[in-house]
Amino acid sequence: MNYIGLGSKHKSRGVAANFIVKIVINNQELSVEAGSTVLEAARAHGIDIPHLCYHPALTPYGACRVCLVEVEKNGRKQITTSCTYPVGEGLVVRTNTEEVRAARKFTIGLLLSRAPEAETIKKLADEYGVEPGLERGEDADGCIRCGLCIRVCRELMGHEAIGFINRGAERIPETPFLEDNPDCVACGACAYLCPTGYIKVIDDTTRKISSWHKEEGLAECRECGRRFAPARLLHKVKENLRDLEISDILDLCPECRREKEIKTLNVVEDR
Amino acid sequence: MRGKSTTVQTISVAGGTCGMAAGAGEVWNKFARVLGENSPGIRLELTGCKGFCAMEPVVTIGDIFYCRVRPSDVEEILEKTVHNGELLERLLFQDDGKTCETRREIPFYQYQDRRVLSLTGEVDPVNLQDYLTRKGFESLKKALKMKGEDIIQEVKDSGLRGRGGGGFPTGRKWESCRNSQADSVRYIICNGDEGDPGCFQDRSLMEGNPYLVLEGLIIGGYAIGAEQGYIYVRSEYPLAVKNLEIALARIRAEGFLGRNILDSGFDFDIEIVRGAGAFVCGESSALMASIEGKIGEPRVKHIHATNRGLWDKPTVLNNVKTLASIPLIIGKGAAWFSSIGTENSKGTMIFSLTGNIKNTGLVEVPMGITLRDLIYKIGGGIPGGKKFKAIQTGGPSGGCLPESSLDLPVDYEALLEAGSMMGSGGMVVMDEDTCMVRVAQYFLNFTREESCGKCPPCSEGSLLMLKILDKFIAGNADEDDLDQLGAIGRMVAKTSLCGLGKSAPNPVLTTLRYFKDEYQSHIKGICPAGACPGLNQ
Amino acid sequence: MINLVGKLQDIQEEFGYLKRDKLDEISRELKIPLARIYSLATFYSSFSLTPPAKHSITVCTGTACYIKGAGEIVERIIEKLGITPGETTDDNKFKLETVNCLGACALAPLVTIDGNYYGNMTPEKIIEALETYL
Repeated sequence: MNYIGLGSKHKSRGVAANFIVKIVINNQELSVEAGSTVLEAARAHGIDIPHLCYHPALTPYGACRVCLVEVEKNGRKQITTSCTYPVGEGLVVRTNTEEVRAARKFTIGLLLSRAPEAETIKKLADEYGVEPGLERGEDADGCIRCGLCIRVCRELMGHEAIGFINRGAERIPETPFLEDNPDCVACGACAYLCPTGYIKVIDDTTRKISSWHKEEGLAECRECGRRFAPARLLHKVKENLRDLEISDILDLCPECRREKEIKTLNVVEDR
Repeated sequence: MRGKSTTVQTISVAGGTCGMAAGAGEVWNKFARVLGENSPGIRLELTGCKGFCAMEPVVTIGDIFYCRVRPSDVEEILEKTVHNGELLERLLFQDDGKTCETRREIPFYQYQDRRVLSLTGEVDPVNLQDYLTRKGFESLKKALKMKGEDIIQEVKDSGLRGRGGGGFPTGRKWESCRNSQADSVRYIICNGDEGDPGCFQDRSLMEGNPYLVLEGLIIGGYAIGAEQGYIYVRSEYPLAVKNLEIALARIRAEGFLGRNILDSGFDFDIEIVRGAGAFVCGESSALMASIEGKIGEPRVKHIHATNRGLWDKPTVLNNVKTLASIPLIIGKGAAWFSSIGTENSKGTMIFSLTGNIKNTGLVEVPMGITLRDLIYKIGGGIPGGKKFKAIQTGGPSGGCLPESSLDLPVDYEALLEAGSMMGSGGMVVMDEDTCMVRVAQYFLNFTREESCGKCPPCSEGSLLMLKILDKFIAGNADEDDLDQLGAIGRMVAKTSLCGLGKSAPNPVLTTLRYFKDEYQSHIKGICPAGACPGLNQ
Repeated sequence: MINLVGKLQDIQEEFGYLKRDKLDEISRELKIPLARIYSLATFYSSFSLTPPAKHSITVCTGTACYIKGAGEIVERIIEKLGITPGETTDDNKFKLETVNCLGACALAPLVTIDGNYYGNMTPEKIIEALETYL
């Protein structure tokens, strides 16, 4: 098949809309959207495949090696990542064979040795009966190098304030020169997607993200005075939404905004 | 005694990186100084590597092959050999008391079939005229009169397979690129990122005969319908970069490159991209990422580069040796090319023969030659009266083969079946003093340093195996560790993202397969090679 | 198309390392986030973020050199200069590095000092070679 599939972000490329192909997952014949990946097709049909570095809004990366499945095409079988593998007519997928589970068990063990305290990984480890593959001691920094933080920053926030530095075992997401990077507006999207809690956002009078050497001032709510959002982020959002003339609600904290919205609704209903 | 020559005599000094490092530059300078500006009847030439690295600096005068020449030998060579036709016995190659008067008599060359390397070491690498008088660019002229499809058919008929690793049929690769995404821009890349330690055949070709590589690249570009080619060269090879740059400028000036090449209507240009020091960039998707200005991180390749490669456009990536074979195939025909070799591995292969071997060097032999012939007939065996232990082929992705594998014919399938691979053609011979557990450790350390770190099986899995190997080396391992090591190796191979990770355990798995007794000795506190401090021999 | 790796190589060649202000400049001029540039600078081993030492020692640790004792050569240099691979002496006189293969395996074990080749090294010969740079 000549169509191209690299996940949701790329569906438009070279694929006719609503083009459907038939694949088999775990002996079940399914009609799935061409251009989707095996993981997306499985999710659409309620078939669970564990994953850590995948997010529907981001380019698939294939790095955590947890979503491994067996795919069979033209009689050839291989173990591969379902988040990157494109569906195609006649593809046969097995998500839960002994071999697949053994492969996942191995990779989960490696991830556990990097993030032994992370709840998500511990849960997976329990499910697969895994011990940490490597006792890293203090070197276990809690980051599994899934790259979600970097991808969300670059692809959705449009900043690219962080990147992987070094290579091999020394690879780690960081800011340039390991210092506060002005490109980072402390939006916290990275921490929100981080599967292990390696990235922590601490809001007080300022917002602190220690992984990025960041401390950013928080803006006060116009109504209640509570500090609620990084000032530079707010400024940027206002700039971007200038044409919508909603800047007055952007100065409000989420609670005050909700109250204001309810009041507006009431006015409408009263009419 | 030979008769005094009346025609022009060429004194040729081998000036590849290895020759220069051994002092060829000083020898050449001395010749130039003594000969001066005007020396009728004598031509002094600095060529690429002649292949016999163990004997560098090498000087040839016609058939005469002088080894380990020093600047202090120069005046005598001129006076006796060049002017009087006398041989200087002390500089001739000697083997077991036998003196080889000509190059043809030297066993190292006798059993070779130098086809792709025929001009490497014979010509001034950047002298375009030298290349042209030896039928250079005749194949390009012929190709430009052919249809792209027909060139591809010829390459398919020749049976040429990739000379850089997996051995994928070159013609099929070209065809699938040519037929993919109609109307798209296409690229062809020459992979000169020769990262396998112990390998220098690509360097030698790029340094010693850059025009041949470039001619192959241009023909490839024409055949697949590309207008832009790249040649990706390892940063550790400054001489290769320099010679390629000079060669490119000269062929551009002569109309072999650029717009409307030789009035054929075909536009094609080539850019040199220097690597920046990352072994993983030899992997195709990482190499392309590097050209795109990104970190050399492999991508998942469910879609072939021939469909979506460099900048998402259909791309062919070929090894230096593969492309250097193309002008020969077009010039002499598929039948000539495939007349030697084995059923599924046609033509010749260039190997770097290194390690504990007498005749270290670069050899070109017909596919199907046995490892034994390579090591003993060409390589001259193991020096210092030591016993052979293993031959490592295929670089860090390959494996170590024992004595019992020596009668294997060298071809893609036979090496794979034995657990190793052809790879780029590195062959490192190891003698009885080499500890195979430490060899496995060496390669894993290599992988650990060179892993990009994207996926845990490669970066973490190699650490895991290294920890176990450390136990063997310290004499603290048990039988359970032996099983663990194999199990982890097989898992890393199965779950890694790219070829580097998938093949990283090969040195461990092959040493476990062929040298298990050595691991078991370590469990008992004995290192048979006597290489592990603290253990008994 | 901007060849970013090539740009960094040019800086490395001109200054002997990647000067921070030059990286900032590229980022500004080409509108490429500094994070991407820093990522490249730390990924590729031919880039350095610190100024070069007066003399650069490179020990080849390719397979052939390894088999023939490159490890002992490295040990000996560490002993002599008190720096491990990747480090520079306090007086900034020597930087020690290892490289995976220089492709001149016939000369194994091989060391280069400031680009000059020293082949068939032994622990004794490397010290002699170093003395000439002291």
